[in-house]
Amino acid sequence: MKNEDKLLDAIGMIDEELIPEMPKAELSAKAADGKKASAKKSTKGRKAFWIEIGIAAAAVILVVAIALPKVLYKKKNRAVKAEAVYPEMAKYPESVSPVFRGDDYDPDAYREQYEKWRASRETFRNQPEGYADGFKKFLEKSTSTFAEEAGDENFVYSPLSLYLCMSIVAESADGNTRQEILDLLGVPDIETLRATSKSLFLANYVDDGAGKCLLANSIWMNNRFDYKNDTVERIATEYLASVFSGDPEDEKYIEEFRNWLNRQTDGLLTDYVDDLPMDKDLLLMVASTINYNGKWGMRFHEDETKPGTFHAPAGDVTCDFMNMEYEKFDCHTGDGYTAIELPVTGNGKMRLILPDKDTSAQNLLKDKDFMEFLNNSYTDGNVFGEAMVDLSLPKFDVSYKNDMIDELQKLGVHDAFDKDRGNFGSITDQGPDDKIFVKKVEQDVRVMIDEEGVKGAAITVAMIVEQCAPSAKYTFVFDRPFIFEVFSDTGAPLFVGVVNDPTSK
Amino acid sequence: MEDKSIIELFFQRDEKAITESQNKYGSYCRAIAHNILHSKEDTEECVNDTWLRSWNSIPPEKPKRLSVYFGRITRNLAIDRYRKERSMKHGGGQTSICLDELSECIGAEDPIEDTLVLKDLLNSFLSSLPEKHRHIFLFRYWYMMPVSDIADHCGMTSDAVKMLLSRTRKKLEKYLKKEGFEK
Repeated sequence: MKNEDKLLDAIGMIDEELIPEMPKAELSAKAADGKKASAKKSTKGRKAFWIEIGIAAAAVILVVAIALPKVLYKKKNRAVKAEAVYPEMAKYPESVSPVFRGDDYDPDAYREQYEKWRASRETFRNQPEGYADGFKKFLEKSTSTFAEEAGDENFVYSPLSLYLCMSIVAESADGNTRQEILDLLGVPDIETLRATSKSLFLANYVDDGAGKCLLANSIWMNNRFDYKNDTVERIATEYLASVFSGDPEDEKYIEEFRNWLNRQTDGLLTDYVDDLPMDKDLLLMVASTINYNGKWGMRFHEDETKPGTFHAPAGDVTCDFMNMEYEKFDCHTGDGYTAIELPVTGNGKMRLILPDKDTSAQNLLKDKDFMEFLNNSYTDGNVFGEAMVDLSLPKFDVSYKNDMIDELQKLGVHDAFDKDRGNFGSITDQGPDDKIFVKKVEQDVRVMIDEEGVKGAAITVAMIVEQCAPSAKYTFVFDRPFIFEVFSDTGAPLFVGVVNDPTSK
Repeated sequence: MEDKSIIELFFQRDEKAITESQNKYGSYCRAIAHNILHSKEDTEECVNDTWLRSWNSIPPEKPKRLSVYFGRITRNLAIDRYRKERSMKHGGGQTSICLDELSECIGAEDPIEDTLVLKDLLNSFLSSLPEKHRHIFLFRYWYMMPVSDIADHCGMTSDAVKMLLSRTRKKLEKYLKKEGFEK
């Protein structure tokens, strides 16, 4: 017996007064029938049951009302002025797997819950036709510009988070400042932007117990300034944003801001958040976050994880490779790359792209055809379909902080960053001498994968300040730099990244 | 039913002792076994074996904390079963990860002969920890709870729990080294 086994035994023998009570949640979650086990093992069964349920569902009409977000105005001393009420969705039924049903499995109750879940998911996903057109145009322009940043370090970018953040900046701006942002966001006018942003938010928001893709927006005002109430209220309702007001030089207010960001992202980006300052001349801080967590449809087995060599640009490194052989992965091949898609249970998918040996991730990211592939979650052409795959993929945990002003300027947004031309007359009364401009647009993103699934978080902040005044068999060994993407369930790219060194954060 | 009355039933050799134990502590033991084994069938068998073991051991034993008494038996049975399955290449739940983590605290060079000495050292090490740190350590390595569940329970992030566990393991490693368990 190994020493760690003996240590485990010895821990089992310690005095009973030292042992804490088991938490109640742990008891209720697992005790009755091993529900967690069923949730994890259910993927295979879930598909089978889906078909079974589909037939039953055809005869059922369900009306599900979703609570559209309301805004609660609170007149308290706290900094919060309005708190966004996030969409509530029906929970994915527990204990679902036909392979692993518990003793108390009740098929009728299960079907009823399943129907509720399906209808609620559909209600959110069924946004007006073409709702994402503006976002697609934005992707075409923006991803290649940001991807040029990718050098020999790891790189991650969240298009959706930037889109939502810049939407609120556009709402606060006016005149040409607003128009330049609307052009970037691929929409003709502010009304279309409001509809687009809200639809993107609702269609991609998932909080149903099975998967998680939580989006959140907020604005942080300075209590020294006066704001236009109708604009603030519109930001709260149309963009589902929470609204806060306080003194940007007050440590408590800054702490509340940082706490909000940490809460929304489950503390995945604390290193970044803890250093995030508020400018004393702050007029408006806009923050958008994404918090994504999904379990692989086909989980990797820990026993199969083995150390291996990754050929990083700076030299070989050793890291843990997860391994799997499976026949049902979607694979694609293109000029200079092969790609594989790993489904995430009920919550989109991850696409992993391995550049051919004679090319590099950087070269691919400059290629127009490749960018088209990158921006489109539904791929046609060059697909070799479902194939038997030997997959070897390093575990990684990568993050990237991106100062975005240079790229946004390349993309045609100029006035917003210019203190002489910035026009933010929609959010506040701006006199001819009031110099208001965006001082910072920054994004911090982190994505990690392991045997269980994929987790990711993004924060984008824009800080507006006022100055002076107020079938075959394929082998995928990801042992050299590769590109990855995480798509939400509707196919919106949440994260795009390059892993150059899996051992480096 | 109160613990005292359940123990009384064991002493009277009344089989209701088993039913009452199942009612009161069945879910508790299942949760422990499930953390270790991650399999419903194995969990059930382990819990059933727990009642049998207890039937054979009470009397003469007279447990002070019945929950921990049953929990400890379940834990031992589940770990035994995990080890058998591991040798047959079946993976368990949290156990393999917990073992990996614990291997940081103790060297592999010299095999440990006396688990009892190790137990005494653990008792004094754990008593010296702040209560919260001790609880989190034991949620992980006694109850084998997943880090995310511990984080939920303690209102912390998973990263914070991992960090705290890692610090506690480092402390334990130092402590054991000082007491002669060289890494």
